[in-house]
Amino acid sequence: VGLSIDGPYPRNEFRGFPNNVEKTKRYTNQVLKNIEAMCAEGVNPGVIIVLHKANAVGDRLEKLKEFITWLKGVGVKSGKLNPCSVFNPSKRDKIELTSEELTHAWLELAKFTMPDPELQWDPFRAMVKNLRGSHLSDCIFTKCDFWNTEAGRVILGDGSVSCCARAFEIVGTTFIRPGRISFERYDALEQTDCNNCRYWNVCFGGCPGNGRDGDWRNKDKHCASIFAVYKHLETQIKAVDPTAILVTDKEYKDKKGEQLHHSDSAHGDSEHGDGIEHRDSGGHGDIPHGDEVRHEDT
Amino acid sequence: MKIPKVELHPFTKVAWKTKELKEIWAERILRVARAYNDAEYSLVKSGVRSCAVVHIDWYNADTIIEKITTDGLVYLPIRWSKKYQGFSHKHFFTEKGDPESFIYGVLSNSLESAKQFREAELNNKVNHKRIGELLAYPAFCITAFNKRWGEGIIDPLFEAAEVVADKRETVNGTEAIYAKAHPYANPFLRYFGIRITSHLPCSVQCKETIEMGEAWFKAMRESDEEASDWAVEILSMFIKWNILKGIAQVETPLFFGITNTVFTEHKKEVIINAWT
Repeated sequence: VGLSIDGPYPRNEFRGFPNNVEKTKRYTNQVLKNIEAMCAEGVNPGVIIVLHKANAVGDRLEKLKEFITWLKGVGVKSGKLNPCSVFNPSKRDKIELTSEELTHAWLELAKFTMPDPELQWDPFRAMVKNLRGSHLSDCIFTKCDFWNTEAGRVILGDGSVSCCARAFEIVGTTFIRPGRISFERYDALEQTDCNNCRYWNVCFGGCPGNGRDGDWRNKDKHCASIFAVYKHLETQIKAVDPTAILVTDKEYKDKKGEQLHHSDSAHGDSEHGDGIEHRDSGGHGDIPHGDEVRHEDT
Repeated sequence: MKIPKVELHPFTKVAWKTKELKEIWAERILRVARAYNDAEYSLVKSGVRSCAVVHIDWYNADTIIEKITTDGLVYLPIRWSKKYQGFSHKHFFTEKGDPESFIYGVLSNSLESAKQFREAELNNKVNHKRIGELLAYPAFCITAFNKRWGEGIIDPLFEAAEVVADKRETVNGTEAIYAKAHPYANPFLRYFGIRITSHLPCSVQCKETIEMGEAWFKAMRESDEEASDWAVEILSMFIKWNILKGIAQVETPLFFGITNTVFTEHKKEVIINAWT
């Protein structure tokens, strides 16, 4: 069982009922009671806490730590601390953390949760595993095809399969997964914005759904925060074990070669699922396309 | 303008907006592409054009050679090219006999024209002007292509819309223009097999291209009347095309199409309003 709650009221206020504080408080308290009830019955849920201006800045960040401690007390020891992404520009500044705020919150929460071996909060635990060369997680640190999002599927009203709902916000409507998986975003980022980034192999430019300027082709708008957390964790690991070889180390690359690890999906195309003849050259005996021919001398 | 050297492998993807649209239009688009290909061939056979480009794959070389010979046409191979998925703006040359390759060559109604085409291709410096003439492209379009191609703009659609833009604006770093494109001169969906003329027009309202398009459209109708009308229908629709980091996203009322394109650091967008 997984559930999302951003803390006791008012930390959870953005999830509540607009213009109805009492109802928001009542429902928030009910969710907290439900967590206790589930844990009492041995059903320990995973919790997603979304970080935003109501729970991750100033004094509220300290209250958030108290909430994490409370969760541990009732039996919830793992979850995710996800940054809030607001797609409505008129509300963004009121809700979404700035890059500096997110960096501060994540570093504070990493320092708070990581020393406790019982606490397994992401993104920090996942990032440590990624640095150590384990199977990459979460999806935001893998090569995720924005149009297929293998880690998340949505079933639309007509029964067709679509992808992560975050993509709908970016393009403004729902759509059907093409099925043809490819990683052009990563080919582009590796040659441009993320060129020579120390953490490329454990980040890949982050989530396309968080692409800067609302565009999936750009790198994650939380790049600076992700970088800062990776740097902090890398330093911590090296401080504890100076001999540790991480994926960011040259020794690791020499040992493992360039094929470090990739996302859940294999590279390359999956089935042709979009119903369009893709003009695999020669494969259809086409007689194409004046402009292709003339461009060959590049 | 300086285009950075960032290259992506050819690819195309289509994400239909609904299951119903896919069920109706996927097959139609296949037929549009076939009608267009038939037109490209038949216009050489009928003498409207001297030459056309033909890619021959191993698996159907026998069928194509027999058809070309039976129709009294000639074919001269030019180069071996690696196969690719999707839409490519260039060939990937390989060695003769590579099983993962196809032959890029010229189809013509005269051996002399075919030889001229091949010579223009195989010169140290490819003679785009002569190739364009042999492919019966309008003179303005040849000139515009040479200029844009020379600047490294391998997919000059923004430029073809820019010359007839009704409006332009820059919002949050995105350079956007609004224009209308005649369906005969609309290259924005060609990545997905939807086009009526074969070249990159100097303008999406190029008069010569539109005039030439009449012959193409007639040839398409001779192949598949329904599909030809669908081609006009789709190419008259609202289209939002934008490019960023070498990736084009093309939105129509039917689908999103994604493909490789010219590299840009900043987003460029063309909004093609419906052609009425």
